[in-house]
Amino acid sequence: MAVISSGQNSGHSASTIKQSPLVRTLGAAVAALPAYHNTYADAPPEFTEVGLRYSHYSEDNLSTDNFIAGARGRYDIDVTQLWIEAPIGSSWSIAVDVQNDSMSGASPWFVGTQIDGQPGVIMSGASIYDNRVEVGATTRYFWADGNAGFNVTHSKEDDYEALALAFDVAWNSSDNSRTWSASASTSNDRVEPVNGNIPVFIDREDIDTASVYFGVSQILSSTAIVRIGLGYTYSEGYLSDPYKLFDARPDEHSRTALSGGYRKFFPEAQGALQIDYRYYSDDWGTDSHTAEVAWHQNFERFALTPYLRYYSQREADFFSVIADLDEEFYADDFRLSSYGAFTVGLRSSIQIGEWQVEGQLERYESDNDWGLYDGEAAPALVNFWRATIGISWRFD
Amino acid sequence: MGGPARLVIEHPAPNAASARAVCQTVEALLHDLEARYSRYRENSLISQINRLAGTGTLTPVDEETLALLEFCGRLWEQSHGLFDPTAGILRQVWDFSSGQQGDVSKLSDLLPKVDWSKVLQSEQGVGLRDVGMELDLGGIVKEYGADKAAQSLRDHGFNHALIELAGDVVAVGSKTSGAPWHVGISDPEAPSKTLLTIELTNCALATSGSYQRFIEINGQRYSHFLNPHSGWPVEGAASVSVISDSCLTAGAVATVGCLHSGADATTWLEEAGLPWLNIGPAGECSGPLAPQSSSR
Repeated sequence: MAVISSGQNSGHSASTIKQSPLVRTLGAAVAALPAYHNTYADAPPEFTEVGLRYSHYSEDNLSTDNFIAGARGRYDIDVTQLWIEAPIGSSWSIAVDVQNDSMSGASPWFVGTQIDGQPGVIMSGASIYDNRVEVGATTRYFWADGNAGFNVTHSKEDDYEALALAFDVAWNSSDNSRTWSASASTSNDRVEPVNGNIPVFIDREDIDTASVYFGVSQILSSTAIVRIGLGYTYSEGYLSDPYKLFDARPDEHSRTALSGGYRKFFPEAQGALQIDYRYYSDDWGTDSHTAEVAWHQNFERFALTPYLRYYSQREADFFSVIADLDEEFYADDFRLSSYGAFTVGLRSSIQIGEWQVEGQLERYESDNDWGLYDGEAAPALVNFWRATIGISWRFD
Repeated sequence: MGGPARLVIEHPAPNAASARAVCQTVEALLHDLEARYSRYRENSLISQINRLAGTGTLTPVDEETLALLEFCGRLWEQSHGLFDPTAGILRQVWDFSSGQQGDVSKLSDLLPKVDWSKVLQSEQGVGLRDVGMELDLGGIVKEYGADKAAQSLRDHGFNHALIELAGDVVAVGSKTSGAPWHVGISDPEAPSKTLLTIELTNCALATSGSYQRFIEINGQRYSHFLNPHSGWPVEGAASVSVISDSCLTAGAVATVGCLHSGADATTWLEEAGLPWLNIGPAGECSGPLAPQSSSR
């Protein structure tokens, strides 16, 4: 028997093996064999999955420095989601998703001037309560080189109703190293604002939206993948916010977004680096950058993913801190202002047999000074917490 | 495929039924490879090609077979003809089962029929140019089968497994604990004993050797590897082991290592650049995997 003493006898793995010219020459022939086509034919999920997720979203109260009147307490939203996804035969799957949002709190009504001359927010009076129920169904067909899905979603709340149809398709290259994806969707939204704490001035309006997306992802190596996508969305109809006193927006809105991402798995660390970027631009003069970096760390039965996201946008052409009613279009909505925002969060999941429990906690803070673009500071910029917990069960 | 097969799958308890099912899938795919590529089976694709040798008739083959032949051609080029799937007919002279030297005068008739360049390949199929030629993919099919079994396991979601086909091993991922798989390399002098243990994660170890099949001529031990240029057995290594990301590549490099003699084997293995172990006829170990001290 031997004494095992060679330093090179430990830790051999695919990632530590060098590729000499000779091995690369052989490898080109190896790669043509079916056993080494290491991405797989598209197939429906092998299991039925049932899941329940609860999320709580809580905006910080408006700062007293920026507050003039109304209620300082801003939105709290409880989101409950139930879904089921199941294979049907060998080529189809179906998924049904039901979501309930319960919302309470006050929202900015308009921006005025405080005694010291600084802008301040007049909030809606007492708390608003609303409930939204959304039901979506998706059916998907799988074939050897791709899959295609069709989705119908209906959403209803007291003052808003929406119906959306979406179609998406993804197909793989013959060597399975590249995946193209495309989607198209259309929706019709109906706004019927209700008079409550604040007056509204419309009875019923419609919004029609259509969007398309095309993307491609490319496997760079056994541990790296990159993707890029381009999307375009067009809306027309009543695009102003009926619950804001001074809000008159164009009745058309074109948006374009270019996004990209890179994933790199590090086998020794059992972790993956995720980098994503998105550029957005619209015909209201707004454009924005979103960058996110995350580290996905696998452990034996659970995973942790800390992430950091940065967002910066340029204000819309018709935005001003205090709405300029002399213009054709005007708005004082902080969501149309120039600002920057950071989100820091942690996602986790743990596998217990056929059960998976997941949790997520994130903090979002925004500030005019953090943005890349010039523009006056909107006093109603929001900060919030969001916490999510979910459980899902897979069975044959 | 001429040896024992072993499959180890680590999986959560609820997946036992799926694991048993995938074992059957792996067994079926190995049987399928044997049915198509075994020269011992009369109805195999290889036997059909061999029966039609010299007739000018091509046998239609599937893309997988074409790709395997393409790999053979690439290895034949890289090994300067030492690896030649048409060399099987030389066994008519050398009977390894009895350990006896045959009639070497037959070599002059046989050697012209040992020539990979006479394997006809086109879109219509595959054929052998001369009567008496034979194709034998035994040198690569077992290793390819191990890789194919590993891929099947991954396709079915089993990412912690070990496949062993007659000494060739593929590690699918690590153990579920994250620890590497421990794989032993046999002592050529005593094949039931482990000479050393190697840690593998998501890669393959192939061993080619003569310790189970050899021939002695005038007291000189020859390996069962036959030099396709001379027709004589090679005075080469007792065994060569190679690690690569695919068992097919590891086995190919190890086999050609065994077809070389002495220093040429070392040159070939170093050129390949993969981790290797060469155990010489007298049991001496060399290569990056060699134990630094041994007490055999």
